[in-house]
Order: sequence, then C-alpha cells, then structure tokens
Amino acid sequence: MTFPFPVDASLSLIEPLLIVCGVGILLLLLDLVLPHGQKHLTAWVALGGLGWALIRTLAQWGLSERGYAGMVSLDNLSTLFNVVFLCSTAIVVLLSMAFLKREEVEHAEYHALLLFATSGMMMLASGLDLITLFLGIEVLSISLYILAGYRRNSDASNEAAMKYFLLGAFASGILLYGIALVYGATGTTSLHRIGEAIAGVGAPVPEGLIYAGMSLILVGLAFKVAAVPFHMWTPDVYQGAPTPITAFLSAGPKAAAFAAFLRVFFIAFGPAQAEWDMVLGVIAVLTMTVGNIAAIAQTNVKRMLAYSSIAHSGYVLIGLVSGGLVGGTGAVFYLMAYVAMNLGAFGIVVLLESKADRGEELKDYAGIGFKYPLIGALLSLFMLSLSGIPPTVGFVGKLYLFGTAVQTGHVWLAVFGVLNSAISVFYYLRLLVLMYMRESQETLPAIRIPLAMAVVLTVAAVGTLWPGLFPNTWFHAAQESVRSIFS
Amino acid sequence: MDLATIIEAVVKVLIVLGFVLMGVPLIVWMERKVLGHMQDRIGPERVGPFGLLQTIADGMKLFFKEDMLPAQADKVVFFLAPGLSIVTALVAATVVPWGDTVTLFGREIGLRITDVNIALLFLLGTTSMGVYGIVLGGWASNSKYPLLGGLRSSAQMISYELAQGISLVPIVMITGSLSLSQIGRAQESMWFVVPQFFAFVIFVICAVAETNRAPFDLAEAETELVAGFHTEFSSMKFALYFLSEYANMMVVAGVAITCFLGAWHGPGPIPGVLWFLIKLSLFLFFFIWLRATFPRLRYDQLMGFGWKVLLPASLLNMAVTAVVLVMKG
Amino acid sequence: MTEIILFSLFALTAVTCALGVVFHKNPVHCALLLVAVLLSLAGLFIMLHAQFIAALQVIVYAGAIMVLFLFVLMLLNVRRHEDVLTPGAAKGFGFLFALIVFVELLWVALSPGGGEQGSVGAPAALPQEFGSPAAIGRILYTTWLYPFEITSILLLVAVVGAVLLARRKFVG
Repeated sequence: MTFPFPVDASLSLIEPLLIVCGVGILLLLLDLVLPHGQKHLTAWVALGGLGWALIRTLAQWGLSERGYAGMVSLDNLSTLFNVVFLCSTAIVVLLSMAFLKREEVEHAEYHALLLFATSGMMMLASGLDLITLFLGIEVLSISLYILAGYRRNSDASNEAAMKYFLLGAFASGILLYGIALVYGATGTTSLHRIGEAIAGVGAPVPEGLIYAGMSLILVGLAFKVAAVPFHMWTPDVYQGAPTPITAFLSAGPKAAAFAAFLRVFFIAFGPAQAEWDMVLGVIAVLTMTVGNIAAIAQTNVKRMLAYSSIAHSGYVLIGLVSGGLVGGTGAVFYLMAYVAMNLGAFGIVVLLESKADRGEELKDYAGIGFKYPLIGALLSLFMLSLSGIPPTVGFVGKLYLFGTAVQTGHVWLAVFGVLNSAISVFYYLRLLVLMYMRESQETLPAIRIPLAMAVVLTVAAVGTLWPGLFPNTWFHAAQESVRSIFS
Repeated sequence: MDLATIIEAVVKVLIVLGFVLMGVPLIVWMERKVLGHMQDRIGPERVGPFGLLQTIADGMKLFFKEDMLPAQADKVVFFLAPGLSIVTALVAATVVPWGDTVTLFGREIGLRITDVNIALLFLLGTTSMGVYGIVLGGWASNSKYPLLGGLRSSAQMISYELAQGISLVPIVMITGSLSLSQIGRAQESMWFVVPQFFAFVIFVICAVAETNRAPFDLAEAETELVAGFHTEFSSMKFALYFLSEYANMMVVAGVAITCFLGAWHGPGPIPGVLWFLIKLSLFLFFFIWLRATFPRLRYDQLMGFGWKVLLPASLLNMAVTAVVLVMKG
Repeated sequence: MTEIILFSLFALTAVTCALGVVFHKNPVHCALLLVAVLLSLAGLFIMLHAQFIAALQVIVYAGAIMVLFLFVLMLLNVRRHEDVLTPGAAKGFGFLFALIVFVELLWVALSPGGGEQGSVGAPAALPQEFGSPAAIGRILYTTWLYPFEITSILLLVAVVGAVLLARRKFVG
C-alpha cells in the first residue's frame, strides 16, 4: 500500500509528543475501566508516560532535524524545553496526589488534561511555523482553562476559569489577527521565510503591515507570559485555580510561551530587532516593577506568588531584549532556574494548605519555621533563590541576565533589574520573618510529608541549590539550545 | 452568456419551481388518501374526482384567513422565518438532477438547474440554513410552546445533520466527486444502495428526522406542544411552513434517489426522467407509510439515538468503506 | 465589472451587518446579523475560487455554530440588551483604543507599499484544481499534515473539558 503523494512525516521527530498524547488518550480509556476509588492509579500511569517520554527526549539531545514541510524542528532548544516541560509536569502530578485525595476530586481527566497541556507546550517549543505555534498555544490554553476550573464546586475556581477563558480567548484572537497580517504581508507563515522576507530577500514587503502584525503577535504572546500591561488575569487565576494547577501554570506554560517568544522574535522578527527591542524593553521594565510592587501589598500567598511570577517574566524579557546568543542563553537559563525554585515554593504551599483554601494567607505562615524545621528551611531556600541571593540558582541566573544586558548595551535594563530585585527581597524575606519571628495564633497540627511530596521537594531543592553552586551544566545546556536556533 | 442560455435557465427554474410547488398539493392529497386507507377509512373524496381538489380548496381557505400577529411578537423575524424556510427548501431543489443530458434544438441540456461541482456540500449547507426558519419561527412568536418546539427541532436537526452528512461521505469516496450528476452517472451498472446499504439506512432515518416527519416530528408534537413552532402562524405564513415541509421531503427524497437508488437509471425503455418520478413517488409513499406505522419517539430517546447510535454507526461505515477502498487500490 | 458589483454587494453587506451586530440592541437580531455576515463572507470566498471553504463556512459557522448561539440566547431568554460595559470611562477607553487601532490599520493599508507591490498583489495564475475539495484534501494530508493532526488533539481536549465541566455528577 503506497500513498499516491509524498508525505513528509517522520514519527521519530515528534516521538516525545506522540508518547505524551498517546498516554493522555490511554488515560481517558482507563477511566472507563477503573472502578471508583481506584482512579488515583491514573497518576502512576501518567508518571510512567512522562518518564518514558523523558528518556526518549534525552536521547534526542544533540539531534538537529526539521520535518513536516519545515514546520517542526527537532533541535536542542526543543529538546531542552521538552525536558523542562516533562519534569515540571511530573512534579505537578506528584504534587497533586495529596491534593486530589483531600478535595475528593480524583478523576482520570485531570491527568489526561495535564498530559495534553504538556503536548501543547511541546508543540510550542518545536514549532517553526506561526500556524503550529498558534495551535500549540490553543491546545495548551484550553487545557489550562479547564484545569483552572477543575474544582467545580468552588466559586473561586469557577471565577478563575471564566476570567482566564474570556481574556485568553481574546488574546488568542489578537494573536491570530497578528498572524493574519504577517501572512498578508509576507505570503508565508514559516518563521524562517518571514525572517528572510523582513531581511529583504526577494520582493519588498509592506513594512507597515508587518509591524502592525508584529505588535499584535507581541500582545498575544505577552498575555500568555503575563507581561504588564497584559497581566490582569494572573492574580485572580493563580489564586482561584487549584494550587497544584497554579504551580503548573507558573512553570511549564510560562516556559513554553517564552520558547515561542524566542523563536518568533529571534527567527522571524530577528532582522527587525531595532524596531522591537525598545518596546520589549519598556514592557520588561513595567512587568518587573508592577509585579514586584503589587506583590508587596498581597496578604495571600498564592496571590503574592502570582505577582512574583509576573515580575520574573520581566526578568526573562531582559534576556530577550538583549538578544542574540548571550541574551537567549540568559533567558533560557533563568527560565530553568525559575521553574525549579517556583515549583518548590508551590510545593510547600500545597503541603501547608488544607481543605477549602485554608492556610493560604500570609498570617497562616506565622511561627511555622520552628514548628516544622525542615519545611521552614526549604521554604527559606526557595524564597532566597526567588529573591536572588547566593548561593542559589536564582542568584546565578540574575547575575548572568543583568550581565548580558550590560554587555549588549542595555545598561538601563540592568539598573531596573537590580532595583527590582532589591524591592522583591522585601516581600520574599517578609515571609521568612513571619515564619521565624512570629508566634502562631493557633496550635499547629503535626504534618507528615507524603512520599510523593518528599520527592518533589528534594528535586526542587537540588534544582535550586546545585546549579547555584555549579552552574556549568545548566549553562552549557541553555547555550547549546539557543545556539541551535541560530544554525 | 447568450440568449439561449438565459432561456434555458429560466425554463429549467420554472419547471422545478412549478413541479415542487404543484407537487405539494398532490403529495398532501396522497398522504391523506394513503393514511385514510391504512387506517381503514376513505380519506378525502368530496372535492373533485377522488377528492383531488381537496388540498387546493384547503389552500384557498388558508389564503383568505386572517393573518394573525401575536402581541409582543418580534415582527421582523416573525415575517422572515416562514420565508427562510421555503427559500432554503426551494434553493436546495436547484442542484438535484432529475435526469441525464438531453439534446434539444441542437443544444446539450443537463436536466438540472445547476451542476455545481460541490452540489452535495451545497445541499448540506442549505439544509443547515433551513433550521433557522423553524427555530426563529418558534422564537419570534414569543410564546411558550412554539419556543419549546423551535428549540427541540434545532437540537434535533443539528444532531441528525451530522450523521446524515457522514453517511454520504462513502458515496463521495466511491465516486470521487461531490457533484450530484457525477454521482448519478456512476450508478449506471449498480445502485449504491447495494454496496452502501448501511449508509442508505442511516441516511433515510436522518432524512425523516431532518424533515421533522413522524416518528421524529417532535417539533410539533401536538399532544404536548399544541402544534410546536408554527402554533402562532396563520394564513399564508402557515401555508409557507406547510409548503416547505413537503418541499423538503421532495428534496430529501431526490437526494436519496440520486445518491443511493440509481438516480435516473432503471431497466427497460422507460426514459430517465420518468424513472426518477416513479422512484420519487415510491419514496414519498414510504414517508407516509412510516407515519402511519410508527408511534412518535420520546425526545431524549431521539437525541440518544442520534448521537449514540447513528453517528458512531455512520463513522464506522465511513471507516470501513475507506479501508475497503484502499485495499482494492 | 460583474466582479466589482458582486464584491461590493458582499463586502457592503458584510460590513453593514457587522456594524449591526455591534450596535443592535436585541441579542437575537445580533446573532442573525452575524449569520448574514458569515453568508456574505462565504460569497466572498466563492469569488476567490474557494468554493469548498465557502461551503464549510455556511455549513459549520452559519449552519451549526450560530444555531447553537441562538439556542443559548433563547434558553437564557435574553430579550433586552444588557450593558455589560460600565458606563463612562471603560466605554470611552474602548472606543479610543478601537479608533487608534482603526486609524493605524488604515494608515498601514494606505501607506506606500501597503497596496499593490510586495507579496500582497495578485498571485500568479491559479492552479487548475484550486479550491476544490480534492486539492484541499491533498494539501491537508501532505504539507499541512502536522497542523491538521494536532488540531484533532485540540478538539479532543475541548470535548474532554466540556464533558468534565458540564456533566451532572462530579464527585463519586
């Protein structure tokens, strides 16, 4: 049996993606077979799938191929991001175990949607075409809208899902309009060919149309990474969503959106960097400043971490503005660091909260430092890393990011970055002060750390500390990945 | 575009419109007669020979009735809805071929108003627009029963449209064309009802549901909803709904014949157009027969049947056909 | 000439009805005007030799999605236009930004290079099968295979989500 026309479809190119999607569908089928009360077993199946995909992904390191009519790229960037996505999803699956049991919402769909969201991220990280990027964003976003509203009986969760959905759909519309304009101007959706058209290869292109399209695409992507002034959804969604999903939202999807940012602005709009770097620079400064200042005023831990996540988007944007291999490397390294330390912080939040959103207020953290020494120490580690204090990965990441900004002549960005880090120290350390220097209002119950949670916290702690001391491996990986998109 | 082409087009449009509009009274008469005999009574017999003029008389009566406009009704939509219904039904009739080509006055003339190459999609499109006539009629009346009838029928039509469309896909795969005249020509040696019997059954069930005929006439279930979506319509507006229901029956029967029952092909020296008319009458008789035989379904049964039985069955049929076609090369 | 007349007809209907969708007070009328917009777009697609897309536009958007819209509007019985925007500032900002975007796009369209030169101009002669279902099917399963397949994942996710959020029993 032969096809009457040539089909350019190498399955090995997208093997991890296929595994993740396949396991997702398998979970939906398993849901039919598993009796009630046994649904938690799907978590282990999901973990198995993620592990398998991770092994296959690691085997792809160093490969560089393109396929599917040039729409999919297997390079070190996609491989590195796939590793980040798979690890963060696995961590979230582990985080969720206790949560789902406590809230009595164990369903196979939860894990299936997590896997589908992961597949959406992988599409984003490997997309070389505006169409595949858009589809990736949609697969990811729709899974996230649903997951944000997963606790149907909670008003906050419903509100989060609704807000996220309405604003997200609007942002997708803007993004799509931008894509349409760029396609109208250049006649192609391929990132490389858009780049060539802008660089002036071939017939001249209408510049106004391209810049209009570019700014709309910028708005769409800025929404997805929660950059100011398109960040309005973040605090409400982060606060209302189930906490493991908040952790998930702040890690993988943010990294995926930045991967898309990197490809679109480095490959397609790279030749026009002079036009966008000032705009992006201003957005970066606004994002850092608004995020950090608003975080100071928060009394809810999830909301505070939401604003902190906005601020961190601003730091990563510095890397994008700096541009080139050094800037890209800084951004990717910082993203990896952010995912590790942030997942750790959220792990602690999940561990300390109790049913029906209790234990999420800042005052609930009073006095826990001495009551639970291990948890206190870990949370301190993550907070120190988030605020960028040595010897943590947050420090190394910021050092390198601000360094590249200075190196590429964006001194003002570095100045704002340093100022903002100083602001952020205030609210990160306030939590430590609460933990160690205040007495708790009520008697604290004893907490047993479940095995899954122990694994999560260990991985996050190692990920925060080890590259902080020996950053070379991560740095090398980040550099190789960014190098691969320029070749 | 020369004069002859224009004349040809006008004549064909007149023939089809005339046939559909004149055919309706005839079908209604047939329905009443057949139902009558099936229920062991005579049916209309007073007006004209065999009661043939009864429907004409009914039509005249409707024409002279007072045209009511319910208070609080949405005037524009209330006027628009019956019109939409009849227009979509008549537009759909333009692509149904009733014969192959004939040569008249030295011109090759195709026996259909137009032969668009995506006729099947065109048909599905117009049928899907037909939903609006009903749902809007129900809404614009600003009255409970019509609204419920309109909602029911819109849900029903959307559900059955899917299975109906998919049951036609195997035909397209076999002939490699969406043009109804191509599909008709491809059945010279074998009617598609033979290899595609499943698709035919699914199509016919969906066709009954799409035209809101018994046993799927939940939109107007008189025992629960008075008369459903057209409760508030009187006079010519009611007549338009009435016309469009029967016109839709003819279109759907025409499509079933073209796609499954050999179109205008048939044994013997009988000309193609006549064969088409014979098949059409038999198919319409079948519609009436169904109405006399089956009790009305319950609404949830109807939706469940559409989504859980017909849709998977038509998908399966499509997949099997695809596999068989690929194996045969 | 015929082309210009037809284009003006469809384009004017589309724009007028689109304005109607925004400004009409009755939601059901808005939905109907949107149907009219979609139908005129289908007309424009046919003029671009994209008959297949035109048919899909009618079947999927005008025929299925809009009926669902109407369905919801009728079930909720939204008779009167409810002002969702807070009056004053928010509305003013909305108009301001819409105006800015409009002027910007107008400027882009009218600026030199926005019109005939560049890749926007008339394409080379259309391939013979252009816009036919066969041609679209072939391109969907070759060049655009990957986007086509991941779209099915997108739809699967949407279906799973709809069932998850809407089914009656959730716990147990």
